[in-house]
Amino acid sequence: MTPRRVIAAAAAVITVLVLQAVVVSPVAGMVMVSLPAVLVAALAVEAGPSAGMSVGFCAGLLADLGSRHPAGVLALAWLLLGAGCGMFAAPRRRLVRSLFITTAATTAVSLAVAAALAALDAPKLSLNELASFAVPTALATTAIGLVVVPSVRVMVRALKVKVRAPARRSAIAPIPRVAVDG
Amino acid sequence: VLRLTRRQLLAAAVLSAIAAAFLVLDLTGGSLAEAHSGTRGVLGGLYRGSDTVLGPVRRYVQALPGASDDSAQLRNLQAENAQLKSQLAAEADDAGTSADLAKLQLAAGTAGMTIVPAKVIAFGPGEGFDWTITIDVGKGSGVAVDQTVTSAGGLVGRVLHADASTAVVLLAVDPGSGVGVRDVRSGELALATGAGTGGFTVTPLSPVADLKAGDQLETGPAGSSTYAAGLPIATLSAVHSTATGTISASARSAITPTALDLVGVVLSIDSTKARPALTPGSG
Repeated sequence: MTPRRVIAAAAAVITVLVLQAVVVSPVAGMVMVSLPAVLVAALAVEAGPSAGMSVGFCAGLLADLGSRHPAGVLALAWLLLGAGCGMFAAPRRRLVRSLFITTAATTAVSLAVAAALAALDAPKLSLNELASFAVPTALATTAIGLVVVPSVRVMVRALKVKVRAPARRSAIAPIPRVAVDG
Repeated sequence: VLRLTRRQLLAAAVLSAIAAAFLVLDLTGGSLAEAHSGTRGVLGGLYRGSDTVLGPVRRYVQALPGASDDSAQLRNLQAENAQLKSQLAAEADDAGTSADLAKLQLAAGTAGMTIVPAKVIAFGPGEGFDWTITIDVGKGSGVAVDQTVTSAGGLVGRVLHADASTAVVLLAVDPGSGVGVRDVRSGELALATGAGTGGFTVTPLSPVADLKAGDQLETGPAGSSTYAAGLPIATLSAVHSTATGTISASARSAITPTALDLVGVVLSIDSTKARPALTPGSG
C-alpha cells in the first residue's frame, strides 16, 4: 500500500466516523444504519478484499473504542464485511451491481451486529424486533450507498487501485496424458 | 467470485484473532479503559470541531418531519429558498433552546443545584443508536465522571467520560443501567432498569408496593444513588403482577433520547442551604 493510499483511507475513515456520529446517528434514530460499514463494503467491492479487510478492521476498532460496547465487535464484523464483499470485486463492474452487493452485505452485517450487541446487554433483541429493523435498515443503507458507492469508485480510480480479475476456467482443455508403451 | 489468496486468509485470521483478543480483554476487565477514554477524547474533539459546520445541517434535517406536518409552514417553506429555510430552522432551534434553558434554570433554582448547560453534538460513531451522547462541555467547565445529566424533560443519564472540552454521557435508558427511583404518589422506592426503546422496567423494593399506571417516578432517595435526587425520570405505563405475587412495571422515559439537544450537567447540589424550621400551625 502506498503512503498516498494509506492517507486517503485514513482520511475517509475519520470523515465517515465523524459524519456517522454528528449527522447520521442523530437523524437515523433507532435505525441500524452505518455509514462506515457502507464505506468498507463499497471499498471492498471496488478495490478488493485486502483494502476492505484493512480499512474494515481499523475503522471498526476506532468505532469500538469510541463507543460504550466492548472493543472488537465492530472490528471483527467490518473485517468480515470487507473480506466478504472483496470476494465480489471485479474490474469494470456495473455500478448498480456494486450498489446491490454493498447494500445487501451491509444490511446483513448491521443486523447481525445489532443482535450481537443486544445479546451483550440485558434485554435481548427478539427475532421479531430484529425483523422490524430489517426494511428501514436496508432502505437507509441503500440511500447512503447511492452516495458512497460512486464516491468510492471515483476515489479508487483516482488512486489507480487495480483489482485482480476472478479466476476463470481455461477455454483450452488440458492435454490428456497418454501412456506410451515401450 | 474471487478466492482469497493464502496471504489474505492469513491476514484475515490474524486480524480476527486481534479483534477477539480486544473483545475478551474488554469483557473480562477494565484493561482497555484508558484506550476507550483516549479515543473518546480524540473523537470528542473532532465532533466539537465539526458540529459548527454539520450541526445546522443535522438540526435542519431533524426538523423536516415536523415541518411536513404543518401545511401552512410547508407552504411558506416551499416559497423560500434553501438559505432562508436553513435560517428558519436555526431560529426555531434557538427558541426551543431558550425555552429549555429557562426550564433548566428553574429546576436548578428549586433544587439548589449548580447546572452547566451543554449542547448535544454527537451520538455513537458505530452504527445506529449507541445509548450515549457527546456534549460540548468537559473538564474545563467543571464536568467530571459520574455527574448527573438532566434536561428540561427530566433525567438524561450520567457522565461516562470527560476530557477538556467534551464529555460522553451514558443515557439512563441504556439497557443494563439501573436508577434508584421513588413513586411520587405513593412514595414507594424502586429500581428502574433501562430497557432501551422500551423506556424502563421498574422493580419495587417492596413486593406489595402500591404502584399504578400513570404514576410519576423521580430519582431518589437523596444520597443513596449516583444520580441527583428529585429529577423526573419516567411515567408508569403498565403494572404487571406475576404468579408468585411479585410486582413489576413498565415505564415511559420522560425524555426522547433521539430528540435531545440542550442538556444540563449537575455540578453540585447545595444540601447545606439553611431551611426554614417547621412550627405548629405554620402551615
